[in-house]
Amino acid sequence: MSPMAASPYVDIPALSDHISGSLGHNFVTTTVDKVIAWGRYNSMWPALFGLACCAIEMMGTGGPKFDMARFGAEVFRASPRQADLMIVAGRVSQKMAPVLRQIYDQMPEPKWVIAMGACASCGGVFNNYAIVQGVDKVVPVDVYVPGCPPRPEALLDSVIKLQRKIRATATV
Amino acid sequence: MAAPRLEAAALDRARQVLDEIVPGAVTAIDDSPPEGALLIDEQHLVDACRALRDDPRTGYTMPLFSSALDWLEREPRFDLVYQLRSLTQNTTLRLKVPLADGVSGDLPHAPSLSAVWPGMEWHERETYDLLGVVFDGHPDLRRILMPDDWEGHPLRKDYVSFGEPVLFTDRASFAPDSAMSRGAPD
Amino acid sequence: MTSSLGTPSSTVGLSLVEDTSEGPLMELNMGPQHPSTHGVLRLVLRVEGERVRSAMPHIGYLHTGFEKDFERLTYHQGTPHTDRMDYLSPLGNNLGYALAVEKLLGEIVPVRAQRIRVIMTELARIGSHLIFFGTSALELGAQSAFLYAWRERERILEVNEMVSGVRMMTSFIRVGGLMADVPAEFDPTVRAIVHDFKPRIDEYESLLTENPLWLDRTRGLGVFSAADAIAYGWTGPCLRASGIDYDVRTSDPYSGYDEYEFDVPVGTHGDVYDRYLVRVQEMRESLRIIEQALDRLEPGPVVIDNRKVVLPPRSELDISMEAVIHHFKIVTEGFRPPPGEVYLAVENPRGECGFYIVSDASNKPYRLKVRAPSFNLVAAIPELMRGCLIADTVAILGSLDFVLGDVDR
Repeated sequence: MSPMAASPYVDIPALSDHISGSLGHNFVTTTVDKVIAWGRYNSMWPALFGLACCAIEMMGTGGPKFDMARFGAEVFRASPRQADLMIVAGRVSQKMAPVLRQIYDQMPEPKWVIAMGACASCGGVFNNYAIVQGVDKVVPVDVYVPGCPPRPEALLDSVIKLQRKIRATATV
Repeated sequence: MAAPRLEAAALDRARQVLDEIVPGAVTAIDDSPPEGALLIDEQHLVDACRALRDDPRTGYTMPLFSSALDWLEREPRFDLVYQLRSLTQNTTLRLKVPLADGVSGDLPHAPSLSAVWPGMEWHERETYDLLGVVFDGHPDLRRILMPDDWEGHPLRKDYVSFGEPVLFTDRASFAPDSAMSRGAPD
Repeated sequence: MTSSLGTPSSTVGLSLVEDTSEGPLMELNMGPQHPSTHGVLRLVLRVEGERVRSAMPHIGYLHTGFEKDFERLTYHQGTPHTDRMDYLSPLGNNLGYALAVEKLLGEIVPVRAQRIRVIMTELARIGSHLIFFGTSALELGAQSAFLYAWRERERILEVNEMVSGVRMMTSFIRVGGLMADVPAEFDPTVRAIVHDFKPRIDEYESLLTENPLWLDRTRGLGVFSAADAIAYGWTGPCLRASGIDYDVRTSDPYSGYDEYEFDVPVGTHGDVYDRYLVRVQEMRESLRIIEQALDRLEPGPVVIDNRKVVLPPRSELDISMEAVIHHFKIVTEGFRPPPGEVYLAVENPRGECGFYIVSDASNKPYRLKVRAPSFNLVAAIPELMRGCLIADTVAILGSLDFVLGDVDR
C-alpha cells in the first residue's frame, strides 16, 4: 500500500471524543413529554375572560408592577381558538353561563381553567338567584384562587401552580 | 348636604304647576321625613310629567331613574317611583304612583313615559323584568337583565332568592357527585 | 329575518339579515366576550360593509341581584356589596351609600372623616380615569398608555392598602364615618403622589391629546347633543363633554365639597375627543381638591358618637360591658333607622350615582334602588353608533367609560 493522504473516513474514536466533550455544554437529554410540557406551561396564552372586579386585578397582574409576561402568560388572546388558558375572572351570572361554556368549548385541547376569585370558585358573597355558585358547575377547573379580588401575587401564584401541575401531569 | 327646605320648596312649586296645568293629577303629598314626594294619579301621569318637563317654573328635563316598590300586604300593591332632576332650578323631585296588582295573576299595567324622556325606556324595561309591571306604549318591552326565558320577577317580595346551602367541610359528604370531591387538595 | 334575541351568545355570529335598497345588511354579534366591550356587554350590529346601520346593546350578563341582596342584609352588611357594583370606583359607591343611610339616620359625620372621605374618593376618581385613559388608548392601539396608567394606579392602590388593608374593595367609608383613622404615613404618601403625578398628567397627555392618529380616530365621533344627553339622563363627564355644567359636587355639595376650590371641566362638541379631554382635566382638578383637603386635615374623631350605629373602639371591649353589648348588637342585628325614604346622589367618575333607600324601621332596607350612572349611558348606544364604522364602535364604547357591574347590578 502506498503512503497516501489520511483515510477519507473520519477516525471514529476521535470524533466521538470530540462530540462527547461538547455534549455537556450544548445538549440536554430529556423525554418528549417533558419538552412538550415545558413548551406548554412556559407560554400559556390566556383567553380574555375578565368579567367583573377580578378582571381589573388581572389587568394589574399583566401591568408593569406585577408583570405576568415573566411567566410567559402575557399574550391575552381575544379569540378562544388561539388560547389555551381560561382565567375566569369575576362572577358568572345565569345569563353568562352558556357563554362561558361555549367559549370553553371553542378552545382547542390542551386547555386549562383557573377560577380566579371567590365568585368564580364558589359564588363568593352572592348566594342568590342571579349568580352561578362556582364555575365548576359549568367548566372543569384546574386551579382555584381565593380572594375578593385576589391580589396579583395570588394570581401569579396560581399560574405557577398550574405550571407545576402541567409539568407533573404531562403526557403527549 | 341638600337642604330639606329646598326640597319642600321644590315640592310646593311642582304641585302648584301641576294643579294649574293638569288638575287632579296630584292626589296627595307624601311628606314623611327626611324628603317628600308627590303622589300622582295613574291616569294623569303622562300629562303631569310632560307639564313638569316643559313648564319653565319646574323644568324637570332630566330623568334620573324609575322603579317600583312592592308592598306585598298593602292594597294597592305597587308604588311606581320616579326621580327627576331640574337643571335650571337645581332641584330634584320624586313622584310616586300607587298601582294595583293585576287580577288573578296577571301583571299590572301602567302608562309608559318613554315618549316624555327617552332615558326612562330602559328603566321601565328593568321594572318590567324585575318587578313585573307592564308599561303600555313602551316601544320595546322585554327583559333586560334576566335571561329572556326566565320565569318570575326576582325583586317581588314573594320571589324567594334561591342560592345554595352552605356546606361546611367537617360535615360535607364526599360522594362522587358532590362539589367537594372535584377540587384537587393541596 | 333572523332574531337577534334567541340566538345563543357567541363571539362570532354572522347572518345575512335583509336586502335593503342600500345593499345587504349583515348582523354581527360583538360580545359578550370581547376585548373591547369593557366587560360583558353584547352588541348586535347590523352592518353594511363596514358601516353600522344599527346597534342594539344587550345587557344583563353581569346581573348579580344586588338590590335583592340588600333587602336581606343589615345596613352595615350592605357596605361591602356597594364596593362591588361600580368596581372601578368602589369608594365612591361606599360614600353614596353611607351618606344616604346617614341622611336617614339624621347624622352628619365629623369634619375629619369628611375630609378623609373626600381625599379617598378623589384618589378613586383619579384611579378610575386612569383606567379609562389606559384602556381606551389600548383599544385604539396605543398600548404604552395602558402601562403608564397602571403604574400610577398602583400607587393609589397602595394608599388603599395602607388605610384599609385591601387594594380595591376597601369598604373603608362606612355608615357613621370611616373604618379607622388613617396612619401617620398617609399624609406624606398622598402628598408624594400628588407631587409626582402633576407633571406626569402632562406627560401622558402628550401621548394622545395632539397625536394626529388619536385626533383622527376620536374627533367628531359619537356626537351627542346636550338636549339629547339630558333627555337620556346622562350625567358625569359624558354630559359635561356635551356642554352641560352639572356636577353633583357643586349642585348638591356633600362631605364639605362646597369648601374646596375647583373647576368643573365642560366640553363643547360632545364627541369622543371631548369626553377624553374632560376626564383628563378632571384628574388635574382632583389633585387640587386632594391638596386642599390634606392642608385642612386636623386631628379629631372619624366616627359619629352614636354607639347604636358605630362599633365601639376595640380597646373599650376589654373594660366596658356596655361596649361589648353594643358591639354584639351592631354586628348581629344592626341598627334600625327611622322609617322614611331618601334619595342621595354622589358624583362618581361615571356620573351621578344615587341611592334610593326605603326604610320600614327594621334593621334591613325595605328597598334599595341604586341609580347607576352607566345604565343611562349604555341606553344611548343605538343613537351614538348609527352610521359609524365598525372600528369606531370601539372608540365610542371606550369614551362612555361605563362599567357593567354598575349597569347590570
